[in-house]
Amino acid sequence: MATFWFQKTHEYIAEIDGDYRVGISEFAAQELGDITFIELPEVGAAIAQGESFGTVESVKAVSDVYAPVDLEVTAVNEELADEPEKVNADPQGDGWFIKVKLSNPSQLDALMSKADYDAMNKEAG
Amino acid sequence: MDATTKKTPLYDTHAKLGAKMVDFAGYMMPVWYPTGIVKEHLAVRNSVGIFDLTHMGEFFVKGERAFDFVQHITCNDVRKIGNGGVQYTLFPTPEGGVVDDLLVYQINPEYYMMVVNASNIDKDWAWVNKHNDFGVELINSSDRYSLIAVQGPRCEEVLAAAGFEDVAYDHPFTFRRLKRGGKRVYLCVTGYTGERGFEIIIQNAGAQPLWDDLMAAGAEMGLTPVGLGARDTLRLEAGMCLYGHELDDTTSVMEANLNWTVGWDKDFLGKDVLVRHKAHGTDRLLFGLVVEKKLGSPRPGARVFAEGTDVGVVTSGSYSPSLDKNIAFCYLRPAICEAGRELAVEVRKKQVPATAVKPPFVRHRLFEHKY
Repeated sequence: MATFWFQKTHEYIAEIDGDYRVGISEFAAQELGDITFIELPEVGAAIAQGESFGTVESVKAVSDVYAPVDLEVTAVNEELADEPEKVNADPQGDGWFIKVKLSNPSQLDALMSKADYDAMNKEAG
Repeated sequence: MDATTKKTPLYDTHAKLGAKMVDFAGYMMPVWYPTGIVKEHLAVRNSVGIFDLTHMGEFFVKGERAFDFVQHITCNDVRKIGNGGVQYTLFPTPEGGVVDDLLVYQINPEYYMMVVNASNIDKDWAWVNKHNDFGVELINSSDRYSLIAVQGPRCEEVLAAAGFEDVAYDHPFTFRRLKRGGKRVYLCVTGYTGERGFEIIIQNAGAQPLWDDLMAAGAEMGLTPVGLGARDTLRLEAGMCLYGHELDDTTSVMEANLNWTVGWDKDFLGKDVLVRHKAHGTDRLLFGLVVEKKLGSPRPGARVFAEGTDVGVVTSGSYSPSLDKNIAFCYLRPAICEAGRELAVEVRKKQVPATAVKPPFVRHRLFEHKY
């Protein structure tokens, strides 16, 4: 069973069996359109909350992605280098960006639940 | 959405199809449908796509001296086109810039239509009026006409199935005037994709029935609605300029490699500068770059380098669905414009390898065998 937290800039962090994964939300993937390129950090990189940890490029746009919490990268989704379209197909599943270790787990409490995040997008849309 | 943002007659159709809509030049336009830019793009290259381009502007020029007026204000030679002919041309400025690029349609030498860029309608309207020293009647019909394009190798089949008679892509850059459901139609053998295609200009009230007829007729051929996103990647691959990127008030027709559009044997507004540019050359020329897929896409404003020296700037850049690489238009120093030359370009603040190429990036296929 996975638990998802979201932030305003449309990244999520998910806990799946004690592992934490970070990626972009279904809403963001849809808004960006066809994704053609993803740049990800190296394993071992420490990234502070709010800092950019990579870039997502779609046909029409380039966007930075920001760390939802202080984190250390433990794995990157290597498959996205050859198949960036996986992010469009399943952003909150196989299209995850990085696996991370949390430096400060209490930061999760300040993020949005799925319900709050959906409500935010509905209001903006 | 701004209160002044206009909707095309097909707005609800796009909404029903699930299009992502954006405000483009004051119109709510579909940028892509759930199909996605890449598949929409490939549908046009491999089969056929349909576009709502109602945001484009339509001006009419009428009067005894309409021919003289069009000859004066555009750089291409209108004598080349004849009745029923279409010509790609530009409004050059006496300072060596470009007001807009456009298509001119000759109904007869006393009656022309001009199709201009949506983003420039107001500026162009002011420009044509300012230079009307010929007593012609100018009519801005941009809000009264819709434009639906059908582009791709199966375009003729779609139009024939929708009941258009004698559709053949034998004569690109021609048009016919006809009536459909009592509405005036300009059936134009033109496009902005590098593929065989038609652009159908129709009075607004005829747009929805026409779209529905084409969609029904084209279902069998896989007719795919295509948004402005793929329109941009298609025109970029085809090496066609986009005003605001490759062309603007400061770029000259010669810099943009559009010398083929200049009627050197006629007089026109802004000719002097172009004659000088032809004789002495320009400081920059429009050229192309190709960057490997995994290195990311150069974007407008990115600098281009040759052996560490800044030699130019990117004006348009995107992933190319047909090549599965990244491509870009750029203005370069003329000495650098050599196909195959290894350069570097900024991508997300880093320099990456790029190869210079002469556009188009994808060969036009106007006269190839039918699908």
